[in-house]
Amino acid sequence: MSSVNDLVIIGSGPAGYTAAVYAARAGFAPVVLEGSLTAGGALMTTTEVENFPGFSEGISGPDLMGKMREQAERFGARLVPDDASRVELAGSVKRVMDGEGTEYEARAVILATGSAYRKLGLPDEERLSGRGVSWCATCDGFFYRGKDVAVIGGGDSALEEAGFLSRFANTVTVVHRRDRLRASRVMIDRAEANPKINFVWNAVVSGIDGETTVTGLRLADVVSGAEKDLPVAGVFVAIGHEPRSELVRGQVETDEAGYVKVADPATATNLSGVFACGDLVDHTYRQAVTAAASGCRAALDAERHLLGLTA
Amino acid sequence: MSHIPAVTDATFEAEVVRSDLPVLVDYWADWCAPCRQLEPVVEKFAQEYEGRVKFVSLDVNTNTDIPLAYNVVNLPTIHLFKAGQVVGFAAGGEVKSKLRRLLSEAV
Repeated sequence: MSSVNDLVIIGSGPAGYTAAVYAARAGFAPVVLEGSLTAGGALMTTTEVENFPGFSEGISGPDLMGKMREQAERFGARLVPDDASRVELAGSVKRVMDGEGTEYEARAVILATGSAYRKLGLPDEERLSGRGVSWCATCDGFFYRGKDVAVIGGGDSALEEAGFLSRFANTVTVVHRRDRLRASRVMIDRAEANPKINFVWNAVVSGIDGETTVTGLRLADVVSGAEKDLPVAGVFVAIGHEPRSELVRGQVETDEAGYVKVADPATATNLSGVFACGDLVDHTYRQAVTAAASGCRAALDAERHLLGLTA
Repeated sequence: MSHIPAVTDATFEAEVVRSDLPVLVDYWADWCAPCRQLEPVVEKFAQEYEGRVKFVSLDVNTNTDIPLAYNVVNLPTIHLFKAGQVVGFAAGGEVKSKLRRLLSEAV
């Protein structure tokens, strides 16, 4: 008897868990490498999800992910709370190693590792990371009661962070490199109506001040080049995401930005039996519901592969 | 919630600062999802380093003096104390990858 699994799923956001629900219901008992600190994906640090269909009153990110996880487990997905550290995807039997060194063999692999926070790329950011530079407003908002903070970015996540932080902070300054936001209308209206939220337009962060913790930002105007200081006790970086494709780079084809290439609308990668879904492949929509949908497609594509219906 | 023994603002001096063993302090709060996910990782290290490093946790929601005194502003944060001084620090997403190195340097 072989110990080769039918399917290993790497990742546990909406894409990974949805793939797990479908594959488990189809009887393939997928192994899901959920990630150690990142299990549940980006929604684990999202306060309120208001646009996932079926949750008419909204649901918290961790609650939504908890439900998806339960649903996958109920149908027999085998959940492993560890990272994938190494993969060999080329052959007909694929190998996936977890962080503890346990190796899983499988006839198909679904990649759903999502995306990671984009960094500003400043030396100060590394120096003061965990000392006032944060990527998680829900974790750290509490420390800024009555203080002034800044959020860098102009999308939905930036405004959601700003709104959350305004419950604690004295003021929240949103620093955006353009003169208009790319967030959705409802988020913009809400932020503009919030008396604690201010905006600095056309500005990028050129430096972060502080020794033991953050004391302020240096901002450069992208039009005039003029610099100015913004005294803040904390800075939250929300300038978007980058695909987490390091694990598979060199094996699976990616585009210039690092997104895994798939035969859209199918989820097949350039390697037979390897499928990819969620934010790892999607630089356009990046919603919980689109990630879930592509996870479903990946599971159905993997099933067809496992049943020998495709080459 | 944690199996790691809790310390408080009141017991910190005796349990951490004046400890003979190096002490790893895991600062957490119940609203911090990454903190919950870090917990089993810290527990595993606590077993591995039993007798050599003392492991404690501090709930920042109910204990605000110590986090303020030690400039804790992000979660999760790990401090490694040796002879009353912070000799190791990790916070946010880097905690897991730095934990092993911090511990091996401490003993």
